[in-house]
Amino acid sequence: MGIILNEQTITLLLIMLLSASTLLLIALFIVYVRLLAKVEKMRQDYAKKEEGYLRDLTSLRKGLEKQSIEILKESQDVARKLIQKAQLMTKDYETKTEELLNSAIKLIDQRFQESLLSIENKVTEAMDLMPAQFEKNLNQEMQAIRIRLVEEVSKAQEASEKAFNEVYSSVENDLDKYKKTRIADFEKRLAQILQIIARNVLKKEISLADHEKDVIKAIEEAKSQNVI
Amino acid sequence: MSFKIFDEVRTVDDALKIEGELLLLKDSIYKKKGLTFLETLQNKVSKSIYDFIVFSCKNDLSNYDLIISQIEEIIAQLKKIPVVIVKIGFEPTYSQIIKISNFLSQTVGEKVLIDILFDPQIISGAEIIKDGKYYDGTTNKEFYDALLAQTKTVPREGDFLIGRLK
Repeated sequence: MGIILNEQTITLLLIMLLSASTLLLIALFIVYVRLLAKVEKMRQDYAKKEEGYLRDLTSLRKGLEKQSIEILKESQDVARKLIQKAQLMTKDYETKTEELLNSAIKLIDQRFQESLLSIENKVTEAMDLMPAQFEKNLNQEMQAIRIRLVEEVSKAQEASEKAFNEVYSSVENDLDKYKKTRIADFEKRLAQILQIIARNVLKKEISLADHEKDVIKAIEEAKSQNVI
Repeated sequence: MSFKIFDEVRTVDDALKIEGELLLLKDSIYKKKGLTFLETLQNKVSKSIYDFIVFSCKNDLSNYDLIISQIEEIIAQLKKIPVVIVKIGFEPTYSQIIKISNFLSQTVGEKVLIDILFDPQIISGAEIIKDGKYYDGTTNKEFYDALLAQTKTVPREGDFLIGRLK
């Protein structure tokens, strides 16, 4: 049983195929549009969520900042209190130390006074017990020391006077020597000047003729001495 | 004739001047530039030298060999004249120099050149020096002796060098 395909059939088949295809396309388009709508909705949802997250984050940050400031303030308060406490402790410590020291000094002073008093008493007792002869000897010794001291002072005075006089006389001698030397130099120089003046005056007083005669005389003498 | 030149030479300075003129004359014979021999003879030397050259070459002024030998002979003779140094304390006149020079040559017994040196330290008289020998013929010693008799201060030897020009 074979199926005979004529033109009508083919046309019908083609029409049917075309219709089916068209329907398929429409269906696909609808699916696409729905999908787009869904995607858009999802995007909007996401945007809303994002906005919410951001809002949450901002509020969270502000909260944190607030908390930080509070913590900082608390810390400052604690620190201030600690410092105050420490200062109070130091003052207290200083006060206590001072008190301790004062009491220690007082104690030492007391002990010292006691000791001094005791020594004084003992010395007084010893002095009371010292024989009269010993006291006399002591006085004599003291007197001798005083005299010796006076002598030493006198000797030192004399020695310094002597040294001064020696230096003075030495300087005086040096001065005398210097004066003598200078006077001798002056006299010598004066003599030289006198000689120069006298010589020049004499030279001027001698005439050219006399000079010539003296030269002639010198030549004669040189001849007689076999110099020429 | 050459003796006329020697008559004019009394001092060392005179001898040096004559020698200089003779050397100039001799050089002019060799030189091709500058003054000729004849120009030098006529203008640059003294009359005594001129006369001597003219006489010695017997008017033949082109006889250079003879002229050169004569010049050299005169210079050699000038250098042979003994020199006597006379140190004096005054500045003599030219006539005094002639007198002293003549007397010196006469006393020595030969021609001598006198070299007069001025020494302001010398009062009068002269110091005579010849061939290394020295004679003090000044009156300085007498003067200082007389002065010393008046002053007790004895001057040092070097004191008399004050103001010396030497």
